[in-house]
Amino acid sequence: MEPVLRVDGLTGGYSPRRPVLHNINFDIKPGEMVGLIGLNGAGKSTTIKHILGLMKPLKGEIQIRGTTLEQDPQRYRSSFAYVPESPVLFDEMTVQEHLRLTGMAYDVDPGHYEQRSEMLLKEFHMAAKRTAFSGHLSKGMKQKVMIMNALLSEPPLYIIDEPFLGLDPLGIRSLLERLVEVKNSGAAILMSSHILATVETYCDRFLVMHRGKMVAQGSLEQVREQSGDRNASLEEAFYRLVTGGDGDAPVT
Amino acid sequence: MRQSLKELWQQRRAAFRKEITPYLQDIFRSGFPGFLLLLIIMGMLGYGTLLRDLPADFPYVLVGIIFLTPMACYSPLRTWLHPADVAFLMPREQEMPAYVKASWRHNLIPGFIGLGIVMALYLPIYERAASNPHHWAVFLVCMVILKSLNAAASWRERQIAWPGARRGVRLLRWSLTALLVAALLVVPLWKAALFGLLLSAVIWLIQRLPVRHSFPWERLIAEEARTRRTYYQFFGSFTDVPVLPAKVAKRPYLAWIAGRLRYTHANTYRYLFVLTLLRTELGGMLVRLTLLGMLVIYLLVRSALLEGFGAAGISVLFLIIIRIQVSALRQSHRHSVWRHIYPLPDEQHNESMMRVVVKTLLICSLLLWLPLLLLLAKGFIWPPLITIGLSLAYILFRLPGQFLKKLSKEQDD
Repeated sequence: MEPVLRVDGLTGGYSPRRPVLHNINFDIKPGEMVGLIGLNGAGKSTTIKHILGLMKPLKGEIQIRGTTLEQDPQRYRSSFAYVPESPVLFDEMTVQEHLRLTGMAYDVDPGHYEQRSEMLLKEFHMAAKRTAFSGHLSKGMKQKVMIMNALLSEPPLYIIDEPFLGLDPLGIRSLLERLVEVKNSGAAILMSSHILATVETYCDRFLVMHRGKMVAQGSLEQVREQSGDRNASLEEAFYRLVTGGDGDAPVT
Repeated sequence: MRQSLKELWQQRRAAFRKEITPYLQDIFRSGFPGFLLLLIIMGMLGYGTLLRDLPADFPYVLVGIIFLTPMACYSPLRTWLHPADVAFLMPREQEMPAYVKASWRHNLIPGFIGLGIVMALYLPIYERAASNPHHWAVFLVCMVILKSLNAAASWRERQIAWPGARRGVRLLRWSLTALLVAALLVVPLWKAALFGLLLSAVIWLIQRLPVRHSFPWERLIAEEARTRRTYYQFFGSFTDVPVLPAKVAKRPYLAWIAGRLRYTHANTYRYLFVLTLLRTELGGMLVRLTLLGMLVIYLLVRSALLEGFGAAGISVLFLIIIRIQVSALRQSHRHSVWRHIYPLPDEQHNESMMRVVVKTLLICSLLLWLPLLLLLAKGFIWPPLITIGLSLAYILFRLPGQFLKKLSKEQDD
């Protein structure tokens, strides 16, 4: 199956002299949920920024649905939805107006937009807040709005950075249920998170980053194997991978 | 040893002055002072002519209420407070009266000077138009007392804990002050004084009712943030400024316009910019400027200054000010991540912003032109014709290219 996202030999950072990412390789296929894990400063957010096109690779290539950003910006950008770590909303717009803006930006069919926005407002318990300005929402509610916007456009790829920050237990459950649903319908998900127990339960594969390098990747069994302990939980394997060596161990 | 709060106040004021100096230099270089001077000269010319040929039916009471009420009621307070003060200054709340005293001095002195200037401009009109005017000194003393009472009441208002009650009391204070100004203008002084006493008692009683904070930290911090935003928004019309979070108002009487935009891919940025324009302080400023412009133009039309060309000139000047203000839309969402993420062609961003600016200016120019139509009834045809012709030619043919060029130049920089 053709991958939705392919990151090939990515080396990148803010300055060519001091790259932050070193030769990152991975791909994500349709119907896969992949967890991106690493300590603070491991390079997860920088990797995501490169995929979004907010940073240019120094070396390597990133393809979404077989195209790079330079080849076909429209197709590239319309193929993913992004939920940032901190909610980024427009203060002067209400919850419903954000959904409308996203619907317009991603060219969601008007009838479909009406139906989906209603469903999402209900699903995330935000119907009562539809006319509230984003500035008046709590952090968790803002995060819900970001997630609802991402889900509205039903793209083939979801890039989600720390989605559980500030969410209440109901919000986390709704999000995970919806993510499983979109995954089953064939979408690919790249999710960065520090909550390893949830990542272990829901993700099919894992990307473990440390000091800008990919120190392990694959299924839980493969990551366990790469950590040197076949019986470890993801958390134990992760701990061994990021503290056992200096992070420069060869990736198998 | 702990720093005195008065010293801290002075330090903060000095820091703010230092912070804005580069922007003031930019404004100075932009030729804005020259434009302001021109505006003052035109205004004085118009004022002189109005005084010379004051119509017998000149609505001096209405004009008095419109210009004197805000001068008496408006009581801003620069405190330089910021959110971190809740953690660092709150423990010293008992010392805050000295700090706020410095703020009052900072605001009240220019406030009284402003009132003096407006009174100096209004009194000659009042003395010519009123049948039995009070002595100017008595009138001035009354206005000074009224402003002082309003300043005191505005502090009590800030202390009210519930925002709804605070807004209600403020509306009441403004309305009652307007009534009192009207009373001062039309009834004998002793009656106006009795009325004033009665109103003061009402306000005093009402302000005692709601729950109050001893020191309104949050209110003052929000007020300070709003003042800073206003400064930066003004600077933003001339130069690049750091983006401060926008203050937002619902404005349902305007926001429906965005809802009327068709739900299409091509309208995405237009939808965003229309909402930004209507809901941020920029929209409020445009509404106020347009209404003030319409009023001033109407008054000049009534006085038929320079055979209608005075009113036409002022309408063009207002349009220029609105043009400067509306172009501050360029500053909005400049660094928004969504511009790089939305699957939209890059040129749609600038094109949509330009269209929103052009349409806004078009609507404002037509509104400013409306009072000029009254000149037709007086037999002056050319001033309204020339004004609308010039305005439309500029807005439709020159502005689009000019705006796009400036926008792309800024983005390249």
